[in-house]
Amino acid sequence: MSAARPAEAHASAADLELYVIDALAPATRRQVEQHVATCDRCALGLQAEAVLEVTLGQLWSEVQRARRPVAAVVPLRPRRSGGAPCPPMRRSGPLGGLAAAAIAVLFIGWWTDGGRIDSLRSPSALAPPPSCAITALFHEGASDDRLVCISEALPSPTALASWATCAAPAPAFASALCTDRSPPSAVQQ
Amino acid sequence: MSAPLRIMPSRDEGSPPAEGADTIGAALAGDGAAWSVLIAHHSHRVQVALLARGVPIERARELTQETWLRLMERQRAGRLTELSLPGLAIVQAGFLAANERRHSNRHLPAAALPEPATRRTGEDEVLGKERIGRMVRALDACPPGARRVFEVVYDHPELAYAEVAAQVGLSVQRVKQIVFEVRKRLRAALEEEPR
Repeated sequence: MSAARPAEAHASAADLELYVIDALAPATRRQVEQHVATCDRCALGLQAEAVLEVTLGQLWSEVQRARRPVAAVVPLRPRRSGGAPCPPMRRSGPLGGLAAAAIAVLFIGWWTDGGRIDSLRSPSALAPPPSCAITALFHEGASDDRLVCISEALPSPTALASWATCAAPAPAFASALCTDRSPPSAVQQ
Repeated sequence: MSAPLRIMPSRDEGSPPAEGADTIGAALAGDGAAWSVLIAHHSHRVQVALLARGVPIERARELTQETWLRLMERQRAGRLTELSLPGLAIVQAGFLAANERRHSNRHLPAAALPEPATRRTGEDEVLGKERIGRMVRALDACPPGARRVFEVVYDHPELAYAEVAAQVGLSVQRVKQIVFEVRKRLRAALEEEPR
């Protein structure tokens, strides 16, 4: 790309750049190498070109990332063709999320009622909560060994899991909890 | 300085043979011809990386040859299971250069040794982003054809100019000229003072 010239002459900036990108003709490349080996000024110029090349290589991936987005933005709701534009969707606030969570918890409580997912419970999960154990004590005369929750009112959502466990058939070891047959004062009615 | 090793093929014979998909595998299996192809392809980049570290040109050539010898020794010893080039060779060469510098600096006072690298600050991050932005703008201002050629060259450092030329349908000379011109614009963008 560049005409051959005496080795004593300084290498031009273009020659140094072409050398770094490996684009020099073989004869010129040899001359540049010979000259740079003995000329501090050109050696520094070549080093600067090499630094630029390394920097370009290092920054290249970032440049490409900046030029090409990772993925195209896909609209969630495509516009209807021909018709009127869709009304803007109302965003539910935090209360909407809470209501959904409460409904989910209620559903789980209902679903576990009657021991439908007994097989899914681990033995530790089968241990009745304290209130159930207390109720078992209270029903010491009951023959079917069923645990019944003492609260008449529907428990709060946070207590639903315990309530569901209470509603489930009592496991065999529930009676083993009833070591003290006298009803505790806290539950006496 | 030790006597220069002569394992690098002469680059005056024209373009190196094409590096096939199985060249790396063959080199890992100990095929000398495959190693020759890889050396011809990647030596220049290794040498440029050494020049960027301030290694004199003659020594850079020697260290490049030593790098390949080390890699081949590792392969023969069964300690080379992957060969990611030119990255691995550049790392190996950098290690050799650093080792040499440490040895030659042993007699120097501590104050003469370069400062250890410092952590990047928030300001560095901002300046880095600005620099990337300038480069992106400079690249986008290039003609689409030139941009495409430059992208192929820098996205695929393993390709020789002849392979790039075949891929984009231009002559080797034209490809080199385009790289030269686009690089010039990117250099101007890099050297531009931040606003």
